[in-house]
Amino acid sequence: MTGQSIAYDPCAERDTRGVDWPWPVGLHRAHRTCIKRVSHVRTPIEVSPDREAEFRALTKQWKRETAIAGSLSKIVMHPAYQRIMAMGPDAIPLILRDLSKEQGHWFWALRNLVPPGHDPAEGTTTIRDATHAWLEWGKSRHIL
Amino acid sequence: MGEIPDNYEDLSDIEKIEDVHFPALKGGKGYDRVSPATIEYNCLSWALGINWTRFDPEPQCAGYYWLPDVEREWSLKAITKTLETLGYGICDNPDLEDGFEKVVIYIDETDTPRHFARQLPNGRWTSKLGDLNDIEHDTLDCLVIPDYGKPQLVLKRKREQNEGA
Repeated sequence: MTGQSIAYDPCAERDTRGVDWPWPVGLHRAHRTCIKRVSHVRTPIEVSPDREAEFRALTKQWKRETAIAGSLSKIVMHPAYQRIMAMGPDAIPLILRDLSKEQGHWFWALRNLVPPGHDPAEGTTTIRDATHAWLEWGKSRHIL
Repeated sequence: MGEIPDNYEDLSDIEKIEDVHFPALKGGKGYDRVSPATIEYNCLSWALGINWTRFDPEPQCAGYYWLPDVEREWSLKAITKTLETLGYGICDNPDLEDGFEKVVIYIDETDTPRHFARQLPNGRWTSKLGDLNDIEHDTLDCLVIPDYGKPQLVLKRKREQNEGA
């Protein structure tokens, strides 16, 4: 595959039991089919230009169609957001790049794209702190 | 919500508010913008006078806040409990009442709370419009759109003595 190579391997942090993580607290059962787990990835992630274009289009649609929504549940249930989550670990560097440019409601997706217990923003209660935690995490892994 | 134009990202905040989302505000009628757009607080936290975090119960996630003793769901019951925990009680009208601060909950057709407005001492209302700006507006009806529903439940609490208009 040609494309930009991203030096991040989720396997490096993954629980080796792999496939079936506990379902994230707060996510409705109906969401299950929308999310692809990252349990089988064994090589550094490469993000193809097509994948990046898809991400950009979905992000644009999601942000504009949730611009006046007040609740996180409505924001992350948007079909475009669910499709981004379904991209799996490919989405991580793309999300972090977007987050480094402007604030966004990405923490739910990111939390579910890394192994359980590895959310670097865990415990934060503000957008600013969560953003900082994820961007530092990305820099420390050379994703950003 | 009106049709979202292809060039939405290029629109100014005013154009997004007036031309796309809230047609009743077209031409700057009956409202003023009072802050830049931000996602750091939402309409619920803003109605509670808080701008340092978002009150958001679900999904439980880093970056968002919810009162520890209130059920984690975006429901009328849980949100009413939140307001009651913070000193509000249900009242029967949104009329200006000396010494009291009122919050109105907009509820959609599924009985889900979708928006909140807080009354200012001068009788105007203040609202945070999703991830866009917060505004001061003359009436509650100017924000009635399908996405927000209608203003249907009013709560009040004693106003802080030193709070100005």
